Amino acid sequence: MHYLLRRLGFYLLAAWAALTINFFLPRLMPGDPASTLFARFKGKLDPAAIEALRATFGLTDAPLWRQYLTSLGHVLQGDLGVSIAYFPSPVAEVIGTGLGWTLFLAGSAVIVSFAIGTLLGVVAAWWRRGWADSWLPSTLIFVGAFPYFWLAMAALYVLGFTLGWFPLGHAYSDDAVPGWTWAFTADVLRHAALPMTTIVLVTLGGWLLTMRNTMISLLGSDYVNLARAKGLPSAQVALRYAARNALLPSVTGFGMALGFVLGGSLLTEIVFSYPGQGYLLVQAVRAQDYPLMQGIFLVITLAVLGTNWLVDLIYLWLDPRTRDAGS
Amino acid sequence: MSAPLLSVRDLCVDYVTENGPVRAVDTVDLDLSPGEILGIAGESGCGKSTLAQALLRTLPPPAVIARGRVTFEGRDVLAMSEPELRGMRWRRMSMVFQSAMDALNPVTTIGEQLADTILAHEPVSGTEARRRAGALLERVGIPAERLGSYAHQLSGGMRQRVGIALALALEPALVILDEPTTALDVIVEREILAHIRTLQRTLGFAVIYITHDLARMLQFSDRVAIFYAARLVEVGPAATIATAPRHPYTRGLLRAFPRVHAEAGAAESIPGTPPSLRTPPPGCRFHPRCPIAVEACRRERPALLEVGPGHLAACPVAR
Repeated sequence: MHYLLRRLGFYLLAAWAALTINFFLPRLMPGDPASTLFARFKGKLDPAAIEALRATFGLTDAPLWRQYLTSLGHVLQGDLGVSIAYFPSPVAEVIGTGLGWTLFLAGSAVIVSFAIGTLLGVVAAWWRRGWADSWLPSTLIFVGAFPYFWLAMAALYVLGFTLGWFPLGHAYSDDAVPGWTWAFTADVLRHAALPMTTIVLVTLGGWLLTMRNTMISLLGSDYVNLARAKGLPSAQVALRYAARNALLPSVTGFGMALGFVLGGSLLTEIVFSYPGQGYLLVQAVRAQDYPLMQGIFLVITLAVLGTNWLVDLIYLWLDPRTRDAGS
Repeated sequence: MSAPLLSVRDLCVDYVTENGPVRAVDTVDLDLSPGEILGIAGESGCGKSTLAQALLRTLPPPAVIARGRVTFEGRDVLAMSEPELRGMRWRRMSMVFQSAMDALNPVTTIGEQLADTILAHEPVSGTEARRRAGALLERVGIPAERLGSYAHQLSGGMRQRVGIALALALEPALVILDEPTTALDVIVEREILAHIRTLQRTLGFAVIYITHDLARMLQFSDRVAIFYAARLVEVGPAATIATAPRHPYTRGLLRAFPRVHAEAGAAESIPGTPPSLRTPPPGCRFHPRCPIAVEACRRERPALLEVGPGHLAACPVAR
């Protein structure tokens, strides 16, 4: 328990550092969002409105440290300011809509990819030099070596445009009514199928190779030999002795991948016009929407830290050695 | 001698490498009676651990059994199918591994590892398997409450005791100890060997004790087999080997251990180094280091000949 608290403390410190950098970085750049917004209205706003806007964005003439404290206070209350690209929606609300879709699309893609890849890695290692081991790793690494956007566009062109098997973009059809109905769920899944498959395809090889290599080295270890010599059934030797231990390094990678889900699915969301976090980020950059960018960066940072903490938790459960190191 | 528990005839084990096979066990003949303790000694890399793994047929690739016969309890081990092997392994013949640290699964409790061994071979309930696992721990001197411990929570000596409890789980007829105490300090080593001795007397299993510590082995074993460069050079009762060794290599080994009551500096090493198994010398493999080698030693492989009651040596020159 003490260990978890200590890790939590560390993550809180890291989060604070991220917030601070997030606050100062845009202020080191020329221009400010209020002027940007003012420029977009091409003189149709009066100077008093600019001042009001500046106040909204926290850009007062107060000293920097006071601005910093105000901004920290706002973030802690969940107030991330007002978006410029989606004016006058608050950033928190804009991010909220994108977050759900990204979590659903990229999150499930990472989980599916990890599960299948790791399982295939166990198969390849156990039947080493067998049929699966001779063609699976090379094929998947070959697929994974394609530039992602190329693979995604090719899939979209062939399967979506030419053959018409999958929709060309968006999270659901224009005429679908959002809600927890079978029809809507099926529609969402149909839209997510192609982007999810492309993510899984390019990342599968990495999971497979990591698991396969760790497991092969563990298959030569004394405790696996002992398990075999004890006359245990093969499945038990493979899963409880070899795979269970080989899983540990993969879990670290899984946690990191999960953390980057929120920022990393940029290309997918652009190619498939998927209304997630990455798509919002591109919109924010195009519109010089600093509050939205800052908000997104903040969410990415917190997601990476949060999943890292989650991995610490999983590790405690998977590896008894960490339990004792902590107490 | 009664019918042997284990009999090894003409056994050869090769490591298949890109440059051709390397013979790690070369035409070995051995017999073991029920309840007997046989010590196998030799320098590192002389093939003694390979021999142990060949007996259980757990040789990791690229090692292969090239030739020979292993008969255990009247059955041909080399002809057994995989299910037959699973039935023999551990139930009749078990092993204590060299490094206790690495021989236990780090992520499951020692209780689970003892219980899964029992469950794999006997149709008992999980509770019963756990109860027996507790009894096994008690038997090697560890309180049954430690069933829930993980390997890293135990000391080196305790881990090796768990290894012994594992080996005794199904009350086998033969336990192979592959350098069971190399990772331990001398005091713990002595304790553990004494403990194995006691258990062996009560349970009556036979032991093959593999080590490079000749002095320790002579105290512990009934009979001793000396390996040199993949071959057996001398076999005999421990008392005979200790007092009247015949082979010059055995004599050299015994001189290499300091005696407690001898003057300082009395230990001598054997000149030279053990040969590579890749390019072994022709004839007697010990001849380049042998103080009494004659011309014939360079050409002909000496046979193991009886030189006393139950005492065999592969040296026609020594007297």
